[in-house]
Amino acid sequence: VALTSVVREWPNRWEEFGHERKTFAGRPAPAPLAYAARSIAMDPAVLEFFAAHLHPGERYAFQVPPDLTAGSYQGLLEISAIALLPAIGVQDRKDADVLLSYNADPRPLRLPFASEQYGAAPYYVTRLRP
Amino acid sequence: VTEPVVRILVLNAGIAVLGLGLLPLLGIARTPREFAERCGLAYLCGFAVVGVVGTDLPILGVPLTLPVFALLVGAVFTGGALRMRGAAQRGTPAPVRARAGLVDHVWVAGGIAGIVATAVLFLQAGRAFVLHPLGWKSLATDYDSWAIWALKARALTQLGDVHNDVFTSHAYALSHLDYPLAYPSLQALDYRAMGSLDTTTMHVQLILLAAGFVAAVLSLLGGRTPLVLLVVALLVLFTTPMALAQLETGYADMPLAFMIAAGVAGLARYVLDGERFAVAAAALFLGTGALTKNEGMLFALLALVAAGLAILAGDRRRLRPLGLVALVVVAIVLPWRIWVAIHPAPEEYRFSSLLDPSYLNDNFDRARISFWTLRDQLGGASWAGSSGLLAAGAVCAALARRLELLVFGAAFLVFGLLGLTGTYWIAATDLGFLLATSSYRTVDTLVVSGVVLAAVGAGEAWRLVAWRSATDEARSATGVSAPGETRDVAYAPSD
Repeated sequence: VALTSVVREWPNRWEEFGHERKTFAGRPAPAPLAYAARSIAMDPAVLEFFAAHLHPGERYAFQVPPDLTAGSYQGLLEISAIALLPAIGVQDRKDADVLLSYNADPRPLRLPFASEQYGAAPYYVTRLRP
Repeated sequence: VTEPVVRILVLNAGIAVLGLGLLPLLGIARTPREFAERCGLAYLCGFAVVGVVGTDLPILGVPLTLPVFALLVGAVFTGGALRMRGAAQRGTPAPVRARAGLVDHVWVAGGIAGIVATAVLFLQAGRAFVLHPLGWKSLATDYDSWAIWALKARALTQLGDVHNDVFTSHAYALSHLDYPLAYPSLQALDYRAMGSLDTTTMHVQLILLAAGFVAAVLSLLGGRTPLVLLVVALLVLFTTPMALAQLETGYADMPLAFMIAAGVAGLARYVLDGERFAVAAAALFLGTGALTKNEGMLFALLALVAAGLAILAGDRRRLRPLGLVALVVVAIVLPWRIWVAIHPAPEEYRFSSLLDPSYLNDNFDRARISFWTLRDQLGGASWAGSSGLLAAGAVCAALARRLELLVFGAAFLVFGLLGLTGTYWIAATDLGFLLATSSYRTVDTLVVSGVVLAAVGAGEAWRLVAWRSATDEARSATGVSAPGETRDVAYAPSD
């Protein structure tokens, strides 16, 4: 029973992992979670932009457009949770030190400090506390 | 081989050294000969210590940094070496073994060929693992790996302990606050060793864990089950479409399966011949399994219950050490469970429903659908020859009249299947989604344990055949019945 299974399956696994290695080796080394970010139509560089403006232990909240789907919003929260560490995500803007605007404009919120924009794209970082 | 890979390898050498030191301290190896025979357990024991200490220290507010790890390795190894030194001075005679025959040589050669085939396959898989980026197809690919385990590992690395929102706030509820930390503790140590949060190279750790599991099973059972049977059974497992592919995702299900199956292997050995070293190792592995995933607690409990039933069918004097194993498992899990009780997570299972007949009745369809889905997963093509191997192993154990092994194996696997069904029955999540995303992997522990038990069953049948042929030879040589004169004491039945 055992040998039949091994003789049949061993070459398949050998082929599979060989093929997989060729697939991965042919691609440039991606930024962490780059693939996952792209699957929700998010530029991984935006994550890096947000991360660069957060200090360790700072708390951030997101501002998102009202038409963002629940799935995309959840994906954004999940990817950010790991990518923006050691900054900490919070649910309520009142608890946050920094507001991260994702596809949204923070100016109508009349926040106390100036925002920094990611180029001309609709991504902003705004401090909520000095 | 890149520098991060070398750093992970060096760290893992340290984990193995930690485990080597632990063997004499736990009484797993009390003499140099036992040490040589059982050193295959070292790596998995080392991982167990990392898992336990890596959970408890952050609860106490102390990060498991590389210097702390080095201190731990030094202290444990020194303690173990001192204990071994005393044992070496006492000395023990080596067992007397008769000259091996042609069949023994063929079986040993088969075992070695199997080990080489496993090592070559692991090497090939490792070459792919080391390049595997998280979430490489979509957000859902390797989801738990990055959204839960890598997040916790990264938080342990960057924030040091668990006294922060990542482990306490409901804003991080999606990462399952109550999931235990043995596995992310190991990953966090990898990140520290690599000097970066490299979630791609980290995958090489997983193939090392698989190799450690193989070594542990061979050490635990090698003195009783022929090497070739163990190795071929493990090859069946690792050549299935599911085993290594799932390990590569970085989910905790395969590490959990390794720990529980190693514990089951130890208990099987103990149930059969009362070997104390096996039960000591089983305690550590089951405890760490319970600290790897929440289902681990269920499986550890069921393994102990199954072993208890098997002992009741055999030598009841072996029950007391089993009680000690249960205490050790509880002691290992307790700090984390206290932490979770203080910082409760959103309820994933409606445990109160277990005592609610109307809920159970109204939702009986959940149980029925879950049971058949899990059963289909267990017997499906993804696990190739595993189910056939299990059936063959059970037949062998029955032919060898190993009632205690049959009771232990059947009780663990049946209770395990029913227990898993129960978790789906009372889960607070949509059943279709839950089964689609998890049923293929929650059965890992049952499959891996089943394969190990099958090898033990086959080994028992082989022992009987070898014993009969040895007694026949002795009879024809002396002309008298001499059941005690066996050709190779290693194959002599214990009863």
